[in-house]
Amino acid sequence: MQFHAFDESYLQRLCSGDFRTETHFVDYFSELIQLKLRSRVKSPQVVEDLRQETFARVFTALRTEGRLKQPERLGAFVNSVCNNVLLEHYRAHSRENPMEEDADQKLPDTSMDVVSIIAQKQMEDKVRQILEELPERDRRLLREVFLEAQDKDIVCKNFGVNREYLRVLLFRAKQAFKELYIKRVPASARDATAG
Amino acid sequence: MEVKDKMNHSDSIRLLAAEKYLLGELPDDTREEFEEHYFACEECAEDLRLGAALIEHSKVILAEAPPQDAPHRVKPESSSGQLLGWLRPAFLVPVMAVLLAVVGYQNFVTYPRLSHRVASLDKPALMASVSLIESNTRGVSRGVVNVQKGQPFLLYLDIPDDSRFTSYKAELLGPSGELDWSLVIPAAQAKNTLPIRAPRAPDGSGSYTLVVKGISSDNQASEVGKYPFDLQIQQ
Repeated sequence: MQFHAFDESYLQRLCSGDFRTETHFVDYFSELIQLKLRSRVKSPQVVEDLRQETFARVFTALRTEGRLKQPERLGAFVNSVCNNVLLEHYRAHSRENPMEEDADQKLPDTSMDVVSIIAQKQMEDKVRQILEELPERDRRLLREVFLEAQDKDIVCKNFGVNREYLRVLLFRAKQAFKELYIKRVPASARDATAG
Repeated sequence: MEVKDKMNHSDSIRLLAAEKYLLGELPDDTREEFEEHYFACEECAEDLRLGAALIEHSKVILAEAPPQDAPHRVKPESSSGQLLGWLRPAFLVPVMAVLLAVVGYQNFVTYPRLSHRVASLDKPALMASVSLIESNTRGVSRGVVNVQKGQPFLLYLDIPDDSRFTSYKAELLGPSGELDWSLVIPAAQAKNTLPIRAPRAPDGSGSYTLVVKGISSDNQASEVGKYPFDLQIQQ
């Protein structure tokens, strides 16, 4: 996902409903919002509802003239809106009245196209390569932590390592994946859109 | 709208914030600070995405292979009653019978077949082949290769030289267009006529196409030729 400077020009295109800019915007922030929500909310359906509500409110706010004065703060604004949506969810556990003026707001479809599917397959291949290069012990450690979701303290104790070892293992695997991914996956397959 | 960005990029790197975030180890206030940061920081956002993707794909891949025995785990000891239970004739006899059948099949069927195959690889033999050198040219009739069932065959191919590409990929498409196999060819080897050993005819008799793509240094693939041929299996 290429970063596009969230400058005045970008903001104007977003506010004017430029489809490619909207698509980039939704693609760029969707995963970040999902990561944030999943750390707090278990239900995938609720995560999706809150994600959509966040975008609905952001788009409404953006199209209210003068609402966002610093375009470079767009990311922080999205985060702030998501925080508000989460707070309301905690209080109410359900919303009965989404913002009516955006009841028909259609978010750009983020389902995967062929290029994205190919990119996902390429990512999986790279991850497989990285896992194969790990010692068996580290693979088992990752399996128990991530796949079997066992208590991390117990897993670390069983493997005779501390939590820092686990963090560094993840860091190194991520760095190796980043190097492989950026080198080998074509930019066109990494980008959702060219904005 | 004023939003304070309390954690800066150096902080997030120094703290291994992305890793701790993905492991659920950040205290609430630090987690919120990191979230404020990564919504505004391209590098940390990308880092987090890749970390999350690594974890998700790892779960899929690690689920494919059963775990090896974990020697670090202390297994519960069996009681003597449980141990003796395994030795009961009612259980042991059928198990032994199955084991004997498996061993017998391996010794009298599987291993001799494997030995024969290995021995045959040491002997010279003719191989069915077809030249695709001109099959990319309009007006030239399709090549035909007659192959014994289950046997490999050779495809002769010339790839047009193009300095844009650092390597090539040859993909065999079956009669219904599905991909049967692919082969990466270094650019240096592609300067000469290539004899490609196709392992066997995967989809039976029919029309096949070898598609060749050039791969550039930034991993962009461009089709450079399609080489159709007919394959006929001889039983």
